[in-house]
Amino acid sequence: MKMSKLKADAQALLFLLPFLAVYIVFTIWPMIKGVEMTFYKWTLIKKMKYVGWDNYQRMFHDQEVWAAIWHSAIFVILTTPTMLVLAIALALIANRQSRLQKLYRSVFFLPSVLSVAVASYLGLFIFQPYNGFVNTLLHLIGLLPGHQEIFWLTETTLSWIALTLITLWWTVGFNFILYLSAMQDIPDEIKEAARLDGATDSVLFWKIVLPHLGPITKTITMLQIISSFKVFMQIYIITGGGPLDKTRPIIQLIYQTGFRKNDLGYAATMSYLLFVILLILSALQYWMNNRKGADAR
Amino acid sequence: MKKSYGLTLAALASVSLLLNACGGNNGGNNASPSASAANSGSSSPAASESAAPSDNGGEKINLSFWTLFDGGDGDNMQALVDEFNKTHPNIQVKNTKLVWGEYYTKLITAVGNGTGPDIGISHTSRLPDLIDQGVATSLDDVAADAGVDWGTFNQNLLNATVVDGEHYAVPIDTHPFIMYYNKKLLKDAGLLGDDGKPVLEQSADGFVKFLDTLKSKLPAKITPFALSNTNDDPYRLWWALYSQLGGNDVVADDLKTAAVDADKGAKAADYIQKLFTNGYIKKNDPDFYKNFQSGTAAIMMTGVWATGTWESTKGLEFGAMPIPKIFDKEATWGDSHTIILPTTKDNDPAKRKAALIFANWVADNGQIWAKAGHIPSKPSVLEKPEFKALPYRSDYVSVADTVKFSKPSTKVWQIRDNSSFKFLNEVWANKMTPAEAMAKMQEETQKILNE
Amino acid sequence: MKWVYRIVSLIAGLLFIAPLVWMLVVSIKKEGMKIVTLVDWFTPPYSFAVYHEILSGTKLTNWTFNSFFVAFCVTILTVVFAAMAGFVLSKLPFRYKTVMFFLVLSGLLIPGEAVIIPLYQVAKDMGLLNSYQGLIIPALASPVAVLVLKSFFDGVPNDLLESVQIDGGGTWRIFTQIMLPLNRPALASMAILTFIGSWNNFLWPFLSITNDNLFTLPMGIPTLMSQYSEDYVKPMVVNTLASIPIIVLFIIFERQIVKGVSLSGIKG
Repeated sequence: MKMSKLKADAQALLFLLPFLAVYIVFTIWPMIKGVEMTFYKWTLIKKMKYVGWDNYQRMFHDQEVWAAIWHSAIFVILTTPTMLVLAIALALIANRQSRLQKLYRSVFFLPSVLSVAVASYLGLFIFQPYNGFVNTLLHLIGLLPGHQEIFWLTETTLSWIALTLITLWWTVGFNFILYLSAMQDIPDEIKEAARLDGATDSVLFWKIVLPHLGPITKTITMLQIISSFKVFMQIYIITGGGPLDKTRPIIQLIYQTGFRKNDLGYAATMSYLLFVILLILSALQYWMNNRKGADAR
Repeated sequence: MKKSYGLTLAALASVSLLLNACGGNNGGNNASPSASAANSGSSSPAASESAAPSDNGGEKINLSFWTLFDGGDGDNMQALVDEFNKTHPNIQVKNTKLVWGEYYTKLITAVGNGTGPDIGISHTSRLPDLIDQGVATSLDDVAADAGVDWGTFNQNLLNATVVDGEHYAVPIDTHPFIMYYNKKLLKDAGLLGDDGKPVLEQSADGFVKFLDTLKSKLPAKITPFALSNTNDDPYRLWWALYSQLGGNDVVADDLKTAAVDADKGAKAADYIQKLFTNGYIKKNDPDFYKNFQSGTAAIMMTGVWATGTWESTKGLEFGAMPIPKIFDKEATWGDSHTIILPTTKDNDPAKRKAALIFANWVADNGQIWAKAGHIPSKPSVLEKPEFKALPYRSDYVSVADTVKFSKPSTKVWQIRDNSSFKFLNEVWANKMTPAEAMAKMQEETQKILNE
Repeated sequence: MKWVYRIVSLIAGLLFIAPLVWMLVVSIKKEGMKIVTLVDWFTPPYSFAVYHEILSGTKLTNWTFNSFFVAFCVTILTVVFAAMAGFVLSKLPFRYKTVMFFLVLSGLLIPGEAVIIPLYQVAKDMGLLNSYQGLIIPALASPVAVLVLKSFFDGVPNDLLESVQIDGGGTWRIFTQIMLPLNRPALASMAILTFIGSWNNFLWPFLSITNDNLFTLPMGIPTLMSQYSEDYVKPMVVNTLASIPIIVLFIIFERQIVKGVSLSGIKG
């Protein structure tokens, strides 16, 4: 018996080993190693100097860091609610009985498979003045007088709008599919019964469909918040963090500090700030899910 | 959920198909994965390119060369490399073009990993930083062996590459900021003299009057002055005017103190801001190069590297000249490309010697590089018939002497990218006053210097 | 009412597809043409010259291959590793199981982006930079995949496993002949999400690769966007070429992909 218990342990370990090895070497160990780095002036060529708590002190007084955190937060605030609304709206369209139903589903999801670089460069060119798609389209349909141009990427507010639009277009597909399948899970009998009671489409939506989408909305919201907080490449390519660094997210600042300014120690310190923030967000998610978790499914 | 099994069976089948494909590629098509095998051997720097036997006796030496040249510059550098490889069968240089914006980051990172190239390019303004980080190495160990005669270089340029009496780079050019004009459009506006040069009074008012005439005489579709609205080119113009006023860099001679001359800086910025706000420059022009290239802009200012591009454009009749003397004295922005030998794992002397032979050869054959528009770094090249046969260059060769280079701070690029660009861009967009911008630049520059 | 619905739907559909159509049309325009209105983009002359130039003069096909190669390997290995680990955590009794579970769970809280700087140092010390291994191996540590698969495995009744054990089947047989086949949809779903994640991975390749033979698309594409010219044709050709394979793949496997994505919401 004792023998077999040992064997069971060994067997379990064998199954765990591939994952565990990679996980420890490339996640847990860097996490620990990173702490060491934050106490050094650590450059790419490894000219190291112990600096104690300097990096931390500097970070707490560094306005650029807090501005960058705020920009990541702005991105979350802009994309999350719009994402939910758009995803539900698209799901409603694709959920209608019509010959085009499948086509709509493909069209709405298609941008999601594009490479992040393609989506970003497409965004960059779409929002260019003079020859870009959006401005020429607005000119064509007369919403923008011919001699005027909207400079999407040089005004802070417009930059945020452009970044939000392109992100929604590129990533809404996933959430759209999640909503669509949630809607299709609603038993037809319930809808039929409501119809027989004389419920209109809008009553049906508000009273039956929307409440049914509650649990999935909670999931999407939290995933959306965390992933939006980690935004980097779209912004890096489309606005480069500008104008005047006013759209620069925290990950871009970490990259620039570490690799452009060659200050890996300070960049690692900022990474831990990001870690703490994401930790808080995750804890919040956990707490919210558990508070109402029982009735979720 | 259960009913979906059948459907997803197909998905899994597809996945296993992919698995086969992946495995197949791993074993069968060994073109790419074998590169990884070579790399995992890890001991040879820049593995795939430079895995040559290091102690060679007359054997071929392979050198990897990283460049940041784009467009016409890129083609000309490739032509130089090809020509060198043809004439030096024992040394083969392989040119890898990197993205301009990421070049230095990649170079420093790769050298730090021991995967850097044997030869690299550095701007003179970036050299102090590369030396400080241990990326650029002193060339004195192999210079004599490779037959480099430092006396043959333009001493002004050379001096910027010498630190503590040691040479760290081989300068190959100067590239000042100059002005180009479209002869046809200037003629239409009545501003082209009989000598084919612009009729332009060299003063602050004179230049504005010149632009004003262009604006009023030419069709509305024509841009009087094609210039980027952000970053490099307007910054270079600002630097030129600031220097014309007697401004002396934004860093003091001790290289530790920010020293923005607020009055002069603001005066220069104010002058340029008015060029933007008065509509001489197309607002947020997404492609100021194309604007001039396609003949829809009367003048444009940028580095001399554009000359090659304009020359190869059919139907573009253009001229080149120094930036007008708008203020007290002639001055302009400029920088210089140099060839460096980055630190490698073994710093193999044979390779370093070969690399330096290449660098010296490039400088000696400046007439090829000059096709892109640059001014060669060796005075002797300026006398070569091939160089003299190139048009336009003679119109601006003298500019090299009026270039105001930046001081040898290790932070030149950081200050430029994170302070000067940033605040001046706001001035051009009319969102900040010149005086405000100068105050912010002073503050930010000091912050960067303190870091 | 129905009409309004139809029109709104149609406009939404058009807006979603328009950028891609525009990309395609711009990519076949002749270079250097004068563009004043939107209509100009959509009228001839057309030319495929730039396609030829990009395909023969750049490493785009090479990078597309790298992107697929890395994504395939990451997907398959991640799913296999995660399934094995998830199976153990779900069904096998062993010492320190709780500790192990929390070790994996805590990984959910460590975002890859937050450890990217130290990870760079670790990979550098191990000599993994600039290699396929360096692109693939660090991406395999996915605690999310382990926990999601575990929760699916939890749903397989224990009776079923016991019956196999009574038949004399070993653990490996239980794993390969019961757990995996029964959870095919979940595995496929995980595979699709992992694939897309790897396909779009930018930060890590961007930091760890300097050899342009090893670039993936997200880092290769920016190198083809020239710093001076903003001529639209070349960038759009690059975008189109980089997108064709994945779009074709999407069209072929659309049903499975959609199923996979919708399944991911259930245990998310």
